[in-house]
Amino acid sequence: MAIPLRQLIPLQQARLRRIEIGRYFKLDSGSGYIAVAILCALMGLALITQTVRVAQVGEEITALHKQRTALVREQKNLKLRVAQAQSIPYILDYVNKSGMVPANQVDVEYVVLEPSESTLPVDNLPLAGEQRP
Amino acid sequence: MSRSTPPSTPRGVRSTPAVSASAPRTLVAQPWRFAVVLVLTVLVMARIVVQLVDIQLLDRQAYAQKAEQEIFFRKEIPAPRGVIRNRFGSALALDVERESLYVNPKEIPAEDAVWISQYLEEVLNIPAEEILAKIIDTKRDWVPIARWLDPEVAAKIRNIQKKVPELKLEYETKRFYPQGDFAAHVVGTVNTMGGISGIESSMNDVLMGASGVITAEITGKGGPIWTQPYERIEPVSGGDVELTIDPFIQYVAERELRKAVTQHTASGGSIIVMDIQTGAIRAMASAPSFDPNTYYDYKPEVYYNNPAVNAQYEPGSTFKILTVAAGLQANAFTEETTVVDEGVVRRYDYNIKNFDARGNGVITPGKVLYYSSNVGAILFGEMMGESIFYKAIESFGFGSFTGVELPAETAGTVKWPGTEGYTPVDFNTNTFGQGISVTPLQVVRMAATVANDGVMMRPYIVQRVCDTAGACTSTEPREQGRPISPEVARSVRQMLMASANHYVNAVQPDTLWLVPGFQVGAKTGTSSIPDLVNGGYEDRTIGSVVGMAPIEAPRYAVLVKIDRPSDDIWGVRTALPVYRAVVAELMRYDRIAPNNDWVGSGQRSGVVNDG
Repeated sequence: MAIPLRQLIPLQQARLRRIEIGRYFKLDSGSGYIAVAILCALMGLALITQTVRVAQVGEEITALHKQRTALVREQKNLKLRVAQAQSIPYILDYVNKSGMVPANQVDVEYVVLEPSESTLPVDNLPLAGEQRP
Repeated sequence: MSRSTPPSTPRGVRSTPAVSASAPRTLVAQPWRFAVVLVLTVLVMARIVVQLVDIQLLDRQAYAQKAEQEIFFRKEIPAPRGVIRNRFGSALALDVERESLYVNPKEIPAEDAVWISQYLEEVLNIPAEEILAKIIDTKRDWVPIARWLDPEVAAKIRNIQKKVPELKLEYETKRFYPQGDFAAHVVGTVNTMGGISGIESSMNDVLMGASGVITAEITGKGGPIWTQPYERIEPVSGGDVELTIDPFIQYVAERELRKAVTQHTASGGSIIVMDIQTGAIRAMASAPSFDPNTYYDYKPEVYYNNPAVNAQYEPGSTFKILTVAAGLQANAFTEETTVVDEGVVRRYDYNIKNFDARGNGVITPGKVLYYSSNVGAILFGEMMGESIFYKAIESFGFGSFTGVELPAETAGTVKWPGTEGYTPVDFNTNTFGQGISVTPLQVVRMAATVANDGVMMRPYIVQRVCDTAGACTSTEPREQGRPISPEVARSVRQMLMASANHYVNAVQPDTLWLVPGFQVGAKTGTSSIPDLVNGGYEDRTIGSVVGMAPIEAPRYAVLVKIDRPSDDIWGVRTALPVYRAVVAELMRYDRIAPNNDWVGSGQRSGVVNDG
């Protein structure tokens, strides 16, 4: 009857088992997995950072748009006030409150000058937004 | 120990009857049950497939759109409407954003409604009952309480919003007319669809611009998703329109017109001031006027119409200017040609009289204007003949549009010889301005043509148009013809000056001046108003004056028209004082020095109120 060799050489077996256990502690291809995991984590971090940044910028853009809208509204209101202040009734009211009186034709003495660049007729005066020649 | 078991029966095979009562019962698979389950399964599967086909293929577009609507928020950004300005750049119409107060009545707690309405009454100056009725109307979801609030009022509302968050403030664009009813008929007004009258209507395409749009992904609660940048297509603002209207001249015209309409209890009137060299309209005032900010408070005919360009009337004696000018131009008669005015003349079974039925004796064409002789106009008209007269009417632009950039302009009504309804007596009555309909703008253009040495310029009111980028296109003055020569024009102007001064001289010789210190031309007219309901003519009249100043180097043509004055039917007493006041202001405004040789006894240079 044959006797299994394993039972005969326990020391050999023990040595072999020790070698086997050691292999579990070796990195071998496991290092690759860890590297990939770290890379993934870094990429995830970058993605999150980017997402946060995009959100921040989006919020800033919206805030700037709101600010711009508010400024445009303010500008329009100022234009309205300017236009109201430029109306003849408003000017007359201001003039009256200031104690000024309208000049009568008889109060005015005309000095007739020869036309020159300094005495351009009203029609030749530059219009709003135009540059003087 | 083993237990004996009955022999197994394959599924679907009918088992043999039990051998004994104690034998275990065997389930028998019925084939019809199997078939039913199978059919039901197939039906369910088929339904699912049909539904899938429906969703994925047939209604794909609709479902995709629905999903998009839930995810995407899309809002139109209205384009700011362009600004309308006067000739010096002051805004007459512009867009402004203001906050409006809205509430959702379902959100307002019933116990708070009363005090909220009382508080709002104080802030908004609207009766509390009116506000209360709105905020307890729970059938509605979104009720406007007050729109376009002043910033100060909106600030007060914002303060109370901490206590009453149900009060909602929303920005809304409103078209503002900062100078109220100033030049209202020219500027016009807008409703929610766009311009409905005046320049707002005729230049609507230029003013309105193009809307923008904002598209963004939103959360379930409607908030923004910051990581998804939104798309924004900016609106393109409308172009700006600059008018030829001079603010001071317009102001004077409106002031004097308002005074005259009140003084004479008139139904309305118009004043037009035109720059004779270019055709630019410096003032165009009409009464009754309206405030474009609240146009809906007026009758539609008030804010839709501009009587200066679309009211037809019989020009009356002002039309004698054309009769005299046309005859002189055609050499049908000269300045010295005479006719005998006996005060009445019979034509085609009609007795046609002067306004006072009195004869003026032997008169020249100049005296036809001086005395405003109807008989003289008929006799000189007959000298030139029908065809020359109507050719002159055509060449002065009557019966056709002037081409001004204002909406709903009318061409007037001329009964041309040979057309239906024309009778030979029409020629006679037309020579002194009856039986023909014109617009105020056509008449002032006629006067401007005489003032401009016979060169007829197209009337225009848009000085330039500027787009958003600042590129501007100016209107070039355009000649529309030369119906009379410079010599004839000068001759007629002298006649008109004599006619003008005659109005302020009770006794001859004329020593007083219509506008002391200046040579001014003028011709009055008193027009009958056809009664469109009962036929014939109304009891009341239209008084008008047209002329130019100064005579030697004219700058302005002016028309004044007073409709249905209740205290006096004659234009010389209703419209002429207005004309004098306007011309005196124009001379002063243009810094034209008065000449003391042209000031009569007791008159003061440039002063017409006491003259």
